[in-house]
Amino acid sequence: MIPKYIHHHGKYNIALFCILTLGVILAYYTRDHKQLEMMVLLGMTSIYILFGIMHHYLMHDLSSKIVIEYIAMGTLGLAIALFVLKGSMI
Amino acid sequence: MLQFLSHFFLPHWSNNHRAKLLHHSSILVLIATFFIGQAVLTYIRTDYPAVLGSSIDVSTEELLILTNEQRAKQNIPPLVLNEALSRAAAMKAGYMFEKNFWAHNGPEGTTPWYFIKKSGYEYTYAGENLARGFTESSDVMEAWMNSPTHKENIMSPNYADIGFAIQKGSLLGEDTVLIVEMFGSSDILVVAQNPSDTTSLAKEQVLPAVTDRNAERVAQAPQTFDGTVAYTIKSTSLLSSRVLSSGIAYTILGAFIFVLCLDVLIIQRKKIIRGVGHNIDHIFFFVAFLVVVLFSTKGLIV
Repeated sequence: MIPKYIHHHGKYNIALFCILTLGVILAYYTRDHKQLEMMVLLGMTSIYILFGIMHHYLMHDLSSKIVIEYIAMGTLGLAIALFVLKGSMI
Repeated sequence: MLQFLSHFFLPHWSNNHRAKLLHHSSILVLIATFFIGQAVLTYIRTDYPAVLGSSIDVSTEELLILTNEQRAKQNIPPLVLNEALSRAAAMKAGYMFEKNFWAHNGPEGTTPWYFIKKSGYEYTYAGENLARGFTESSDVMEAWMNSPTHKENIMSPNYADIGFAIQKGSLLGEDTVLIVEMFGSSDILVVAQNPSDTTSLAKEQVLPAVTDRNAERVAQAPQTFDGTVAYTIKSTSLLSSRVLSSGIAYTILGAFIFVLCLDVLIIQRKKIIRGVGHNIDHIFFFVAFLVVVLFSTKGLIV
């Protein structure tokens, strides 16, 4: 079942991995400017949500429940990042 | 208890084969908790800093001892704390807060050497290391020693004097502690003057840690600022907000990654078909955020 998953979703997963890696690198280089870093994280989250929705749409299994799931996961990631960035200030 | 844990963390018939933690309702509760938690933490930090705040212990004495310890390991003569260099460092720190920048050269092109000259220190060799967001002197030194260019300044036998400034303030939208370390040598006999060095100077100034050899160039004068020298910043709180917030973040992100991985394994094994998002996407996303959290809570050097 896992090889079948890779066959169907491998290219998409590699693309998402590369985009998120690029986002992490950008966040690393903007970490001295917290507002800019937060913008990078916002961009990363938006791409993750859009990619997820687009992928399910192309696979013909998109539903409102899935859209909400991606938005909820993305918002949770951002809420955690904001919590840490604010909380780690001296 | 076991039933509750499996309901919350494992796909099970009781949770419609999706761990309760991954349900929309649980995620929404967590999002709300984080936003409310942030407001509560900000309130406690502001009104009760003795309970929740930053535990900072950065001092000139300790930085000097640590610097000279590193030099002693290589049999390099110790540096002497110089009041003029400390004044220059304080002026630089004040200027950085005033102009809101994080670099060796100011937005108007003001170099570190301007502050050294203004402090009255006549230098042959000069250098500068910067750090911000650290809470311990030993962490600052460790970060500098791990950077080749900063280490070069610390270990350079060309320097005889050192000055520090430790100041708290707001920089680039962040409340932080800024540490400026300035090196110098006014002994002309130490290094032969070389006029051709001015060409290599510009190159050196883009390095993370800057050094200047006998530079006479003084950039346009910045606005006036007070060169008050701070020797120590020490504050203690019952709970460190940095440790608390990053600890909570690691726990939640780690729990989500773990539960999502378990979900993939169990669902694949049981061959259950569900109409949910791809767990691999979420795992990638949370791992990326975990990495960001890891480096965002560390101090910075330049």
